[in-house]
Amino acid sequence: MIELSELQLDALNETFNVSLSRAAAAFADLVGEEVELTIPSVEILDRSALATRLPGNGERMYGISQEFNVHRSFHTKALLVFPERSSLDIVRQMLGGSVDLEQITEIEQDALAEVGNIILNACMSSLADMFGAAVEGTLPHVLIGTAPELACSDQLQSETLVARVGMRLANRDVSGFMLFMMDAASIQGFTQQVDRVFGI
Amino acid sequence: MPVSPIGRIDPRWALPTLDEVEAGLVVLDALGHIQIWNRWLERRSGRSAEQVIGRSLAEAFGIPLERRFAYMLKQALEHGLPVLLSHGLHPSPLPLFVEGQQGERIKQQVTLKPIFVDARPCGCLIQISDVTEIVRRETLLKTQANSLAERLQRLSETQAELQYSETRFRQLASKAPVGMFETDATGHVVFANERWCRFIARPLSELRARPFFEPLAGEQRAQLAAAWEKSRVVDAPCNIDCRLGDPAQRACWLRIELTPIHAPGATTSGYIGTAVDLTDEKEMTLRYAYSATHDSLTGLHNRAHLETLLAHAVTGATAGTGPLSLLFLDLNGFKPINDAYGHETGDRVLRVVARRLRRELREDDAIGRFGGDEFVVILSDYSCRADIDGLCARLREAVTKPINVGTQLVSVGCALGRADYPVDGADATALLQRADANMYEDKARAKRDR
Repeated sequence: MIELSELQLDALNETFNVSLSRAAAAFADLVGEEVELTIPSVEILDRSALATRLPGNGERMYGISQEFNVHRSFHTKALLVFPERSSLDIVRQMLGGSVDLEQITEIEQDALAEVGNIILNACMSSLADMFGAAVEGTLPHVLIGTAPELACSDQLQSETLVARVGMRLANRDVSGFMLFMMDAASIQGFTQQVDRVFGI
Repeated sequence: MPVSPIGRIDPRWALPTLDEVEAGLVVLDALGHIQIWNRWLERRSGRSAEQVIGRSLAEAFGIPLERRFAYMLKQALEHGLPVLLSHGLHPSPLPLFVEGQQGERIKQQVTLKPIFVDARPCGCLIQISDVTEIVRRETLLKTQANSLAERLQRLSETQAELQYSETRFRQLASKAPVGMFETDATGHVVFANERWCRFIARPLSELRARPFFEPLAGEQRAQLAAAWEKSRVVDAPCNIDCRLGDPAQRACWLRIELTPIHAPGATTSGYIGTAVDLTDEKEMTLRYAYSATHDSLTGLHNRAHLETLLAHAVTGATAGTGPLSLLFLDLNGFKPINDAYGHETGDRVLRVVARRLRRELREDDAIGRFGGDEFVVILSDYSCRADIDGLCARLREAVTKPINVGTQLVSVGCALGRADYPVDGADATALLQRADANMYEDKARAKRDR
């Protein structure tokens, strides 16, 4: 299990704070209204801890997934997860849907993927700029399942960097969380970049 | 980034080319100039590859790109970030149309995938999908879902109103001062209020799904069944006065009214029954009727009713229904008792005598108080004179037994006169006169013999 010092955790929090500010700005520009993103709490969890810390009430969640590769540094599968109800609120707010369908339609699902794409891209590009490296990524995909199903589906990763983020959109509280699944080598590469940037 | 493995490809295979892909494919170089423009795009943009190769997208289409699309393109080309432009947020970012048509743009979903060389973005692959049909289906789905939701809402509201209405009816019915029940078209109970259940002396659980008249027995059941059948046949309300309960106990009289219920379409869907308690009213009627025909002191027929009965008996005898005899009884020594002990004692003596006389007679024999201390008995169907003689002897004996008046015993005598139809008279008056006369003869004889 990778242990991070307090200094490193502070640095990670600051890193995501900066990157998510850019994501919030990009998202606000898309939806045309102010979006508040809370400062995430960052921690590294192993698989069993991850399963217990995520919402475990069996609620259906929507996850927007993209893989990113920062050349010669780290590779990560980023997952932005919202509860189904919040996902419905987001897309209906943006698309103006009037039907209280219980399921997101295919078109709405794509819109949700774009929302996640904007946030994840903004986050990763901020990280890449901070690290002075290029980032290569995949297009977003939407996954549906419970939080443990979404987060623990990748059998290869034993440890995960978890950043919880809250959003406030049009007077509605929408809470979600962001996962950066990396193998041990990638976590090490990532923290090395953070150490270098912050002079740790 | 991990690369998908490629298996062995036979060079003879005619692999599909970019022109056979059913989606728009554009490859831009690092400067954003078009390098690949496939057949799908040619058909929908109206521009051939030759016309657009080397140009920017804006130049190729002849119009500026949408702000958002331009920004995303820059993200992909300069920062190497993959971008999805969903249809929901960007319905038709590019001027593409159904082949051969102008007007409304096709509905699009666009992805921008950076191309890397040596870990640096050097171009971008743009893929455009026509999602018009998907959008059409989803719009239809939402419209139908909307309609269904509205209908469900209306149905829910109607059901709620119905539920409320039924609850109110049940509450009103349960508190109603009359018995109420509802049946289906076959007369089986679907609802009954508490009062009806009390009338029938059955809980609702035993009444439900059974004919409403089933819990009753005998004549009562037959009466109700007949009333229901009548209502059913004429398809109109009907009512019946019905006596419920054990004949040995106090009667419960009900006026039951049955009304058919008609469903839309005028078919009878059931019946509503109401039951009003008439017991007090009935008993009062019976009391009045009784009072009109009976002597209040002795409980025997009064004179007027007795004369009516005698007239009927004479009519019957005239028609040959059977023999008819009349007895006229007068109490001897009654007046002195009345004078000596008072009217209350005198009344007591009369009641005792009346009881004793009634006991000696058959059920069919009529006896009435004709006057102060006079009694008349109508005897029908006594075929043997000896039987009447025997009866007369028993009547005398019954009358002359001592009577306990509380403080002592008193006794009265009995003068008895008889008249037989038609020998002693062919009508009621003649018979009475003859019997009266014979009674006086008996009285005189008794005086002489003393």
